[in-house]
Amino acid sequence: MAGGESQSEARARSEERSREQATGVVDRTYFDLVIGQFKKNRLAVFGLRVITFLVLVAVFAPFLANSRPLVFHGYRYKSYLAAYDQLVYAHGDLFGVGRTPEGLDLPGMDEPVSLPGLGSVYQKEIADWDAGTQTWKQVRNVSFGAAEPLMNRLRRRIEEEIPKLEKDNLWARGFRKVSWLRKQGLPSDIERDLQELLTIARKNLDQGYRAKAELRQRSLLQQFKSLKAEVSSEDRKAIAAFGKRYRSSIGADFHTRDPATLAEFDELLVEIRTRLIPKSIKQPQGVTFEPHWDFPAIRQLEALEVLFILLILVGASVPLWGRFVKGERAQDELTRKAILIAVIPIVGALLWAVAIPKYSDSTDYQAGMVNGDLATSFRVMAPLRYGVNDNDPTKKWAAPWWYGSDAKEQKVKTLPVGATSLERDLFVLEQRIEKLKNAPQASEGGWNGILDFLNRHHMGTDGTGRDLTTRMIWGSRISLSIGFVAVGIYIFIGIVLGALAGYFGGWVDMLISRVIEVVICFPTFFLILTVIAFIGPSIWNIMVVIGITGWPGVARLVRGEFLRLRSRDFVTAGTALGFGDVRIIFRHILPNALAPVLVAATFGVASAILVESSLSFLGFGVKVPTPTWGSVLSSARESYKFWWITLFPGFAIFLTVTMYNLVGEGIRDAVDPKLRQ
Amino acid sequence: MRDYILRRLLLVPITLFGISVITFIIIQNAPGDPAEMKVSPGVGGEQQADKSVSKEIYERTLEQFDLDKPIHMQYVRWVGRLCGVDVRVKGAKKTYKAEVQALLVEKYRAAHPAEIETQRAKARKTVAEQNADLSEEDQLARAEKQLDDWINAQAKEQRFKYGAEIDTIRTKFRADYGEDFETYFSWDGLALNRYKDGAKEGEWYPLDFGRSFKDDREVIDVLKEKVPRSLELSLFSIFLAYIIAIPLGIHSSVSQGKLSDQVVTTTLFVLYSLPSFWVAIMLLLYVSKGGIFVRWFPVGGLWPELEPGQTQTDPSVILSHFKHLILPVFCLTYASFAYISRQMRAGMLEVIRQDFIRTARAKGLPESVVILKHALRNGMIPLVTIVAVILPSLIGGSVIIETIFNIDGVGRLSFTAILTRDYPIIMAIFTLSALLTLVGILISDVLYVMVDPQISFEGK
Repeated sequence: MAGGESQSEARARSEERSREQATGVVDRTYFDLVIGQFKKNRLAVFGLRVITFLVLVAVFAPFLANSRPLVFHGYRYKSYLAAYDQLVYAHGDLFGVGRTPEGLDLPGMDEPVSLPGLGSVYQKEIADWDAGTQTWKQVRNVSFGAAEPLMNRLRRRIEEEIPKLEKDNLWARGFRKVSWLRKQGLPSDIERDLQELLTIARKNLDQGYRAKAELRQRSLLQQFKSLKAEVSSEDRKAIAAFGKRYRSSIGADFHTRDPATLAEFDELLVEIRTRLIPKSIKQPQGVTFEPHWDFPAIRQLEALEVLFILLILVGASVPLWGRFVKGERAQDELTRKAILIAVIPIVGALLWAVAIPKYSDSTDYQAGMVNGDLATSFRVMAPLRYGVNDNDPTKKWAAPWWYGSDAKEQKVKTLPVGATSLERDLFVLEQRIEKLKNAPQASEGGWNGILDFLNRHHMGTDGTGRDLTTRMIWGSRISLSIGFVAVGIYIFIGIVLGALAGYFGGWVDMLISRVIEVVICFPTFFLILTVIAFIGPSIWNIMVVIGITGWPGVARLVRGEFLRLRSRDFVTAGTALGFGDVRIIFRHILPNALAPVLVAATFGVASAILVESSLSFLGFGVKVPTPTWGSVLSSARESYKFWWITLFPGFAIFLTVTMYNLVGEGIRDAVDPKLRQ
Repeated sequence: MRDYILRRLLLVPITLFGISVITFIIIQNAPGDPAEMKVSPGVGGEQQADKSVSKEIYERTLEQFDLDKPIHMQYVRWVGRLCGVDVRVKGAKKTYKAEVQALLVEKYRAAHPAEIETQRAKARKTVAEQNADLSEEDQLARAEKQLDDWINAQAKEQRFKYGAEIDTIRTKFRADYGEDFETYFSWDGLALNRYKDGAKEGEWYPLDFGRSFKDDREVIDVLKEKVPRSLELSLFSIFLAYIIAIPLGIHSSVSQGKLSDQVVTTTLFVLYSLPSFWVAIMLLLYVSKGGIFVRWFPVGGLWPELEPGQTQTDPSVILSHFKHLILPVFCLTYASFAYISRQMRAGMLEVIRQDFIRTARAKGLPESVVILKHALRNGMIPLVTIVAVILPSLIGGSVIIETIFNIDGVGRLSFTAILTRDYPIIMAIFTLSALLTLVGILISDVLYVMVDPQISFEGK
């Protein structure tokens, strides 16, 4: 029994065979025959599966390794603060009201105030400031779903209206722009938005005061301050020292280290409060912040990435299409499927590019979730919670977690004899802080915690502390895309020129063959090096250069096939029927000549991947922050004793190339008529 | 057949011409000037403290490298030097400068006779002190030459005084040669090439590829130094590849589908897919003298350090040389095993199925004779294609292997040449490699026709 078939499939096949023999009609296309032959080659099928896996990894990389959450439900404290500040400034400047001193005690604080009002106010207000100021940069970090598009829209509209020169002055000037702008005479829709904004802003200013006061009170350091007033002077000194150490180790840079579990941190806060603070701080009443839904990682996707994701999803759903695409002939079905597979992703990507608003979001989600910057009740994170360029110098050259005992020596501090109870409390708290500092990355808890074990350095880190697994996953995109596009380019050129040379012969053939010789004569790798050294290394340049140097091989193959096929009967019949040359070439001869081209294509992708990694290794590849397998390998040159940096990228390249070669061999054997059984 | 060969041979120079023109245009249009690179070799391009001096050096370097002339003149000069002919080019700028300088010197001589006399006496004294061994006339001649140099320098300083006269000259030149007379060049006739080291009058020196921009050595000398190293590696590599791969291919074809065929195929596949720089690094990491597991192989270079009393032909030195060769040759070779053996296998499979093999077996010939005598000759055809590739690979070298193993060969030479825009070397290497490729293709095409009379290349 040939590999890879179930019993029912085998039965269906034998039924079809007997039907074919009976009626003499073959209802399979040439490609069905080739595919059937291919499936019998187990190695090739395995290779194809691995390649599919790699393509999936490459296309879905943002969902596999991302420091930003995929789904986020919550809000940002800091942004509220920033929004409030801007409100104050804007009002001050717009209406000549002086800046309100901080901590103003306003009456009526006991009434519950809900902040969505503030949120919606501040949406419009941002647009207002944005229209006039440079501080839109400060609130750029804020993302409130609907607010951002409005901000962008207003900014774009205003940019359109104002000539460039004034716009530069605009950004430089500061706040007086809005009035200046209005003097210029804004278009009515902007004017309308601004008016509405100002009205609401005026009404809700006091709400902002209250929000700010509440936020201030929540600061723990504030608690230390108030605490100092209530304890004895010796304890005050110890607590001040503790506060200082806490501030330096947790407060300032804690968010850049491995963050502790949120639960442990909260526990620590509670413990600090119960141990050190005699009275608990009154929870401020009534002010609620409204969380919103956001999809940070998905928002970052570009149209091209969306195109490929849709392509794969649509392609994977093909078996479910069933009756929708059946046609009279197998050919029709194929055509319909092809059209749908092509059209849906392209339309989707265009929609993504045009209709979804884009805005840059530089929030550090990882840090924010731990240091109190972000509050979230629900989030979905990628399995690997590292970013591609997350430098972390404290973790550089770290081995994979499963290798060796590289555990750092912990400096153990012991409690001295004769310590007071306060000193003991402080000591216990400090130990917990130490433990938190050196803990591995946050366990999410809850259902996110299921994936915690995945969130480690499976392949170690590189010289600047970036996780290697993440870089390999994102690097696969470069390698695979360079392979596909470069080969696509040179197959296209090679088919056209080879077909022309092979079909017409004579002087056309002579001319094209000489051109082929000229291009072949250039030593390929040096030509690529030369051109890249001249036009600069970038991913598109590399693709184009590999494409321009690779087409002669394909052209010679196609030319050979055409030379063989053009004296066949079906070509003579076509000519007799009056078909034009172009039609004969592209509709009749070419489908039969494609077999060696497919083989060359798969080997070509393998060799393009090798060329790209060699170029990156020599330093001529894609520019530095973008990860690619070859450049990771070249960074290993600095220090060979970190074996993981040499092993994993090299192995990845080797594996990819082997799989492509296997598939190429499989295709070659499948289309070889002499090997058919 | 003979006509075909003749036709192809005639096309070789045309193709070669096309290739050299294209290469020339590509490298000339590159950003980055070799002259600039020489003057300010820092990548960051530090500002020259004395701009006027550097500008003069830059212009002189441009002239020395032929880069101030228009591109077609540069190309013709290059081709001319290759044929042993110096195609002279006259530039208006040089004549202009000479005339201006002559004017200034004349003015200076007229204006400062006294100083000239003082300087002359000084020069004679200095020459007498330094070169007392020369004859009276020689000393005087030398002193006059020193005086002339001094006058030239002084005259140049005075150029701001004579602005009006210089302008007249400039207008005259503009009238004669056009507005842009500084870039006006004209042909000045042919002469025999005298650029080679130690060139004698009247001797013809063809195949002069020019001098390298980097250190002004003859390109031929540079190549003579580097090519043998890469050649040695390539020859060994090709030899080994064929010796090992052909029997493997034959064996694969004979036992097709059996376990040994599958094992061999898979192993060769795996070898083919390993990136060579990775393998090189891993080998250096693990089995070289700096390695972790065993310390058998030297780390780099081709020859060991000679101890006092050893010459290069000592047997121990030669043995060590072979040891140095092992790792680079291995890295160069293993990838070709798969390709060559697959080609052999494919060719042999085609042949083995044919009727005459069955006849041979039916005749009762032993299997080895059937395969090795009858099938092999016909199955060698795919190797003919590969012959085309062997020739150029002799002169080429692998940049990566040479970089990793620190071998000073042609690969590294071309890499450095490209980076430093060393045009003569780039042109020489590309042209030679193109020539070898063309000859290789021609040989393989001819062999095709000789081996299989059914193949023909006639048109529709």
